[in-house]
Amino acid sequence: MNEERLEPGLERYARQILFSEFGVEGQRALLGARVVLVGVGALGSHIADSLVRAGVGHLVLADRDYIELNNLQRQALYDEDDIAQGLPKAEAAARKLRRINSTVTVEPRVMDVNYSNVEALVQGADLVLDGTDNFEARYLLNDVCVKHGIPWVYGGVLGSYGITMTILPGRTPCLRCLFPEMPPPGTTPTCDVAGILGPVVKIIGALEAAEALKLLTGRGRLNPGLTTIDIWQYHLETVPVARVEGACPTCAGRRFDFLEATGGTKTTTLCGRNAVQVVVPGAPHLDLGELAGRLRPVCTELLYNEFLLRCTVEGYELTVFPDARAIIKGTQDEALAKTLYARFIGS
Amino acid sequence: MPVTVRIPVPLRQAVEGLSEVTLEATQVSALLQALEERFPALAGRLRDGSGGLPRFLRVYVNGQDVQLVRGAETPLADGDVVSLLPPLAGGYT
Ligand SMILES: [Zn+2]
Repeated sequence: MNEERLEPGLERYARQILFSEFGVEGQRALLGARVVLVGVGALGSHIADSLVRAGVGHLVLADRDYIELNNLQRQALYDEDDIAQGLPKAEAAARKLRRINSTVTVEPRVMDVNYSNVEALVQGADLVLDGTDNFEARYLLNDVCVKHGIPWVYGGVLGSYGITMTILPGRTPCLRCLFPEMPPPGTTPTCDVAGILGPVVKIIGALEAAEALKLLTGRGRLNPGLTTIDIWQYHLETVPVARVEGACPTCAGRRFDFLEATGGTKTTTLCGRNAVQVVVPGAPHLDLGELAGRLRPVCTELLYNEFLLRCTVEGYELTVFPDARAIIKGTQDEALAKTLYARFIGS
Repeated sequence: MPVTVRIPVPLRQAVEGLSEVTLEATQVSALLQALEERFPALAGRLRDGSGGLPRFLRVYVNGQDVQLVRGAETPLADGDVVSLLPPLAGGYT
């Protein structure tokens, strides 16, 4: 197909439209789609890059973090300038993606995705993609997607290894059919010890993006099971996932344990970061300018913009977001992080 | 009956970095027990408190999920290839 014969707005997608099974119809479906990507780190930045170039019409990017220098080894979209500006990942990604494709909508959401906000986040989504880095977040996505019948793609990477599965609620096994429980803490290797090779991130990100193209156009053949890849041993395998009828608490029991969680202040140790995130679900928004005035006498290296405030107190680096959330760097002690939060930010 | 066990990356540190281990066993439960005995760092990661399959691990024999066969009691034959699939927390953002 000649680019000249395509209607205005579609020329940039000529090469994928030329792939006959995708075609103009596929492109229109993509442009009309709304996709929510949770986590825009290593996996997420590659997924977002693929989807925006391919022309997903509306992409929501939800991420709780800011960019650090050691992210640049494997994360697409970011550069040193973003770090100097103190930008959160979602915002920096959105700025870069809009320069790649200004004709689609990229909606950054700087937030901790949790039980209190995930249902609003995925409302109206055609598809949810996993760019997260922890079990709780994935089980939460599984709960919300099964509950509302939204397809989602699970993906994870570690070392030279990656894993992905496509979940169509009510039709295929879900994450809790696969693993009804999380392993006990301390029994799985963390980012601190296992490291990561860049290429495996791109492979799993590309597989997630490919599943998205098929799901959104309703064409092609989806991943029929659980795919694992070990690029160091060159082992690639897709195995079927058995579902014991009626056994899954989520898709059979319609019990959404992770979504129905409650509670006040929540602390999370961040993977490989020597940092703890403190979240107060439902807290009123913070005025960062006012907080800067309050902290100026007691802290050093104060920096703030419309997205975050950063300063150092008593040897800890506090990064505070307008949603009253903080990432406290320099400790993995969740109780200490809570105390620092109460002392310097608010109770 | 020698059986080959493929060790995925998340479990590899517990088995001295090996990607494959060969063991003698005639049943999945015995195989997992033998693995734990040979590599004590695997304790608690392959079996639940009563010796059954834990709810956070999938076991495949020649690509077939043992849950569709006889779970921990699934028999093993000479030359079988067993794959262990634990969940993956990382995402490494
Ligand atoms: Zn299920």
